[in-house]
Amino acid sequence: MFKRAMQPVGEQPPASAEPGSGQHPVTGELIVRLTDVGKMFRRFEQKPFLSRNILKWLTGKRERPRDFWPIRHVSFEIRRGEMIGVVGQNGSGKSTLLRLIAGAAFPTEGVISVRGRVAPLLALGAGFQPDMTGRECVEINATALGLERHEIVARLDDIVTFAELHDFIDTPVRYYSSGMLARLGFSIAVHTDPDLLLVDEVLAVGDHAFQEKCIRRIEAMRDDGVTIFFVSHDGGIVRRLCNRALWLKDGCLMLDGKAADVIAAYETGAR
Amino acid sequence: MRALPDVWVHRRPKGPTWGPLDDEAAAANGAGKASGAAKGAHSASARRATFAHVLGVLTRNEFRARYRSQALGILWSLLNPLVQTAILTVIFSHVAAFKSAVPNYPVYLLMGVVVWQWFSTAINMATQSFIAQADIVKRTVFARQIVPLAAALSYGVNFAMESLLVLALVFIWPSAFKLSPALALVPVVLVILAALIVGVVLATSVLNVVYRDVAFLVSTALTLLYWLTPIIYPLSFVDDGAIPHVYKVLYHLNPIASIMVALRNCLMDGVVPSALTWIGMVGPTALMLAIGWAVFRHYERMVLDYV
Repeated sequence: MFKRAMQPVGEQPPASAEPGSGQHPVTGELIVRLTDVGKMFRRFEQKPFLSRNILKWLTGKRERPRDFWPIRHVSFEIRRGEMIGVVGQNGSGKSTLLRLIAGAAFPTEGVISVRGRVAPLLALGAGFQPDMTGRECVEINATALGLERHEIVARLDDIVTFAELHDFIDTPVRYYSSGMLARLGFSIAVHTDPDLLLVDEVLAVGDHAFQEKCIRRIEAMRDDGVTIFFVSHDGGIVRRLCNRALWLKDGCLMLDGKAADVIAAYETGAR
Repeated sequence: MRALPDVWVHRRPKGPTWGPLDDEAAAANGAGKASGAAKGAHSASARRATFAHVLGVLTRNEFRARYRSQALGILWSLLNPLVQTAILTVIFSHVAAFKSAVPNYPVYLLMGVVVWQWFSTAINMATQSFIAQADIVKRTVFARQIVPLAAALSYGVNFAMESLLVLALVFIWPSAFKLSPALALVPVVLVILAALIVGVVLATSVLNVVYRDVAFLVSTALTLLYWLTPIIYPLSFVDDGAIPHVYKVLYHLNPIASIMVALRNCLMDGVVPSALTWIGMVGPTALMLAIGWAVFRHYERMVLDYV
């Protein structure tokens, strides 16, 4: 894994060197740029305790944490209006990449530059607490996602309507089904009026009808010019929605190009 | 489509910076280079407004969530110190030495308990706040210091309600309170108390994420500090006690002890706190704030990976 990490793009030419050139006609302004980004985690055998560390330090038996790079030497740019799908197997660094762009993690190497309002759908309903009503959860979640007070007030009706939760919005979310929670979480996230929407496998939740509704909503946002960065195992959805795709493998960017081409390569290469 | 802001967030290993892209990119992107500084300033004020808004919402939410599932709701927050003080008062009022040393001993005691309650609960709970709020910390993006601050401030709401209870004692022990210009200093002392709590929890909250046993350490230290603070016993036991002068000065450099002394000076004695008391409050508090902020800045980004 490490060896491959040193040769980022393999036999493919570095795609980041030519954003928007030829393959996919993209003319929008730059909205995200990653320059040689890497993220390192340290793996400890045990949860670190201060007392244990002091003991180890005193006895001279310091544990050497093992370094682990879920993603390394990744560079690319995103332009406004693009809809980019990210494919890769489990552990290929997709979620780490998304968290880095969202700002929910900082890189160990390189720079990530982002502008505009980002809506990270990293997991739905962050900050929901069982005893709070749906309405209160909307306030907390939307605030944490960066909405101002007046924006929350103005959009509450739209959020509730999209989530189809009119009769339950003043019920504690303790009594919500998982589908209702997912609907509310998704509804808040897509109503934050983002410039850049980051979607992390969240479409795996909810029933089929809700998934369809989410996908239609994402398509509508794409048509409104929202830039969308979309992580999925499912090559089918990426092919359907995206104009560009990235293929991550073992933390490296294998391929960056037209969605259909990348998915085809991923599906043959992944087997 | 609305225009994108000229201000970029650059997330680097050492933390975020705000500003335009480097010159080459700015030129390629057609963005003005000169406007960078001005836009950056605007964005800093916007960030401050956002900070206040998020802090307000999270504080309210913390407070609400705590009592939501209980039938008596926020009454519980009053019941606990009430019962605690009642027990302490019944027991220690029988200690003749305490009663004779402090006039209106129950008021003295309740005041100490209420202040200590905020100090200790806020520090204990805010130390664990990142773990408790792991979900929202990992998945959204806002200034992380808000999390421990909101936890600490939400106990300030309890403190405010309990303080009203203390003030109500004026009807039972009218002579316990002195109407004097020194009352104007009470808010100042309370601000120092809040700053002290903030300084402590900025450090302990991030440390507790990286080293999970810090919370135990903090709670043990607080138990120790409880007896180094004039809550139950009169201050005169220390000041007039047969102990070396150095220890007396050190005792007053315990900021929470000095804060207690100052509050009782202003409310019960009607006198302005002494210079030593002011030094004992402001000095250690300022130091703690500086240390807390430095520790927080150092561990801030690790929190995201460890929580």
